[in-house]
Amino acid sequence: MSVAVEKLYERYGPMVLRRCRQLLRDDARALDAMHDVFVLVLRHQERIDEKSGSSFLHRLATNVCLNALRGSRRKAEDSDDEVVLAIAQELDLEARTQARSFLARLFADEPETTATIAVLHWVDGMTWDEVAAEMKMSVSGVRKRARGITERVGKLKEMQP
Amino acid sequence: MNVPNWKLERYRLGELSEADTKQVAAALAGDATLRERLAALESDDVATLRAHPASRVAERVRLTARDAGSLTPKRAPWMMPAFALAAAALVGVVVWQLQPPPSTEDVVTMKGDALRLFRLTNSEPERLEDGARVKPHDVVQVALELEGAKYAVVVSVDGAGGATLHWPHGPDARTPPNFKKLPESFELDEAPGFERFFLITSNEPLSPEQLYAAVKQAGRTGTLSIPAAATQRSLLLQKVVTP
Repeated sequence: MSVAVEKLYERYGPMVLRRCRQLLRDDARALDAMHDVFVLVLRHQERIDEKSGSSFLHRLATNVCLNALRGSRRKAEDSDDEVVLAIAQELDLEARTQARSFLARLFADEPETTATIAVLHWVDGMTWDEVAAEMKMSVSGVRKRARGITERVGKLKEMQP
Repeated sequence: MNVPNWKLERYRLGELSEADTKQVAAALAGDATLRERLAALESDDVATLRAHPASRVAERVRLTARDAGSLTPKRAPWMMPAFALAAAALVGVVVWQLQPPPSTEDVVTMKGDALRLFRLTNSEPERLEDGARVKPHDVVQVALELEGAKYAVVVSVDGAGGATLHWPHGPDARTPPNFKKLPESFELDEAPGFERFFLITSNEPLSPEQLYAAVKQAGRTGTLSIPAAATQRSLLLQKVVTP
């Protein structure tokens, strides 16, 4: 059964566009990213739950935008933007080998999903419990990952001047 | 209580848990700023659906989904969604000469306005003339010579039918003072065939969104429809993908 794109867009499109604008800070790119999110929705329609579509689309938009920001050289507009750009940069393998930033070092050994987790927690302000629910992971699994991050946060903070 | 944006969005959509819904409702009752944020979301919803109607978005989404891996944001390969990258990788080892490029007539009606393309290398930038051969991953800089045009839009379309809006970066196409090049260069992706660039200038406001759609259409027909008060210039790069 095909997804009624119009209906999904009418319900979630503005939210997705706001999310893309928040992360990309560029109206034209945000619009492109929003379209790509709905293209992906068509391809993953079996994962759409009518009662929690916003959660799925929020995550999907985050992934699309992080990919769109890979290699971006624009200046961060504020502290949230700085975090997002650093996380996106970390997704770029080439950038990873030359990573020098606090967050880049922080994520050097983390799987890619950690980037999304990081945005949800550090940019969106979700608790770790909320992140676990969002990522459809166990709370213990996210907490375990979070513990590792926290340990390295401490070490990296000590290393910072 | 601090209600983050994502939670407020889901409250509006009725997709929060019962406990969270009660919490946000209580916060709304006592927080005028939060009520304003909620109202702003509602206004933005209306504005977005008016500016980008569902029927138009759905049509573009379906066309893109049908188009073999061709997605719109291809300013650089790393900006493409993962599945588009995968599709691009599949075609990366083939020399693509199957699709004839569109007409490359250079239309210049506003004297002095010009579109220039340069390939950035480790040494001097290399001027790319109309019909120049380029490779995926070449880094291209768009330069402009404008004489008085108050508005400018730069869009390109490739052989896969994907279009990219290079300028402006928002809905306002006004040209900044001393506008001689786009603020950022970009890396060509592996879309086959060609990359055709359009510069549209006018002293009347231009709609980047409409011109983006027009250029995408022009990629297929070779004819660009622009407002009567506007002028256009185009340059074609021939894309060669070698093993």
